[in-house]
Amino acid sequence: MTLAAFQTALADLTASPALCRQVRTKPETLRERYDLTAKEWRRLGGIATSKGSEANCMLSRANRLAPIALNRPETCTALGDDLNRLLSAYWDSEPITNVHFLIEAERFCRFLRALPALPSVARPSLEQAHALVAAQLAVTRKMARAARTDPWQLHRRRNK
Amino acid sequence: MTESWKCNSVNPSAADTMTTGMTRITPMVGLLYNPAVPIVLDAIGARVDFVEVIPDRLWYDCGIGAPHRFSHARAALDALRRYARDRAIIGHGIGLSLPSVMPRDAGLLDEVVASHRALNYRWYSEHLSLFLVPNRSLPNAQAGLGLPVVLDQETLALIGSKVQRLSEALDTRLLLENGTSFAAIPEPDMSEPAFFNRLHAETGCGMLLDLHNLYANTLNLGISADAYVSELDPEIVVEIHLAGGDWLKGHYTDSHSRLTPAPVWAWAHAWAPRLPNLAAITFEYHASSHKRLSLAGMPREIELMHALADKVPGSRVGAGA
Repeated sequence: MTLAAFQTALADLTASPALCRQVRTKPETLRERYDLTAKEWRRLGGIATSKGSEANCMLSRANRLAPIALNRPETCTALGDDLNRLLSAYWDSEPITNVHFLIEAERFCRFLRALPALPSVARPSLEQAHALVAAQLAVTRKMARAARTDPWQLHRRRNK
Repeated sequence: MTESWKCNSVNPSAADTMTTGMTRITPMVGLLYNPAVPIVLDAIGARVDFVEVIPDRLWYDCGIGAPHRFSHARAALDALRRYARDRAIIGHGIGLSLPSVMPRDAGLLDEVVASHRALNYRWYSEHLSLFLVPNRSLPNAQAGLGLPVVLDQETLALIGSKVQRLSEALDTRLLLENGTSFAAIPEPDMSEPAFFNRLHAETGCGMLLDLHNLYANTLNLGISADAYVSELDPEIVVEIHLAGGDWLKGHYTDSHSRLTPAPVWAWAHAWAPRLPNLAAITFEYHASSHKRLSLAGMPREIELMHALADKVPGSRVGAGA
């Protein structure tokens, strides 16, 4: 199962600039964390030390921020300089991205509300934002439950 | 591999180029469908032979195990149905992540198959990129961050088995697209063109050659596009993608935000006529860039694609690419 470990490690490196930095200074980190062959370890080390790893991390974070920034921009603004730190903490606690943008945004709001040390300036707008995104999500779930017809049935095409 | 490629064209301009009794047809010209594409189709739809649809954008996925997992974007489906009525549709998936070591997502596969039954894709493509890994997933806002795969026998066998099951489930031709990477995996056991050639030889899976992805890789990784294409079996390429991107802190991104850059056009004109099974030329752009691209010359881009298609001798429709 080392390919599985390799793929997980590659994704972890992509999601975490801190892990990349750690691997650059201490390559053994990868062997300690993942079950890798020597070749896989060299490959991942090569990626962590490459110029491109910076771009990987940048795009990964930008893409993961997208559903939150698109659906709750006011929350991001209210968090100000704390946003980056809180996003990292959220992603550590939820390493699996949900492709459903509303689920991702609602989950982030819920995570923030559970934080005792949330910046006080952000709390009022956060509660409002959470209620709104939760309501939007509830609507899409209700629509899914209520759908009585096969959505594809309505769209059958003749062979073109 | 089951051969079920439907060779009848729905587009008059393409159909006109087909000689009766011959088995060659000019490649179709089309757009990757996004919410802004209907504006283009309203304006110059007669020049757009097909739309390429990302089925994953037609539903909301609450995740494996969720009750009522998929809810469908019915308004988007209705719009697609209207605009695709007289056009071919090609399916272009991003969710199945064939190179991942995890078993296939049966629920998602069922949904993809259902979409094919409804929309009748000419063929279906996926990516030679990782979007899912064990216990993790990659945020792919617009398939913007697929990770590179290890090019070795183990990955070839893994993808090959999934390709065969997917093509059986869909009962249509399957293509795999070359991806972009900011950091190539060192010490590959084989080159990427060799990987595609072998995958085709072993499974019949064709290739979607994304020339802009290749362009990005020449800029970011320093690879030679000429060497890449020279090593590729020209018979396996069924579709090419064109697009434009942006620079981000010294890295060139496949952001689908610009018109096709000049070097990519030069490659397209040099290489497309040598691809005997080339059947479609697709321009990809992001909906958020629609206003700028339209004003800058979307109609011209489409005419350039037709000019390119006219230079291609014609694909051998139904041949085993």
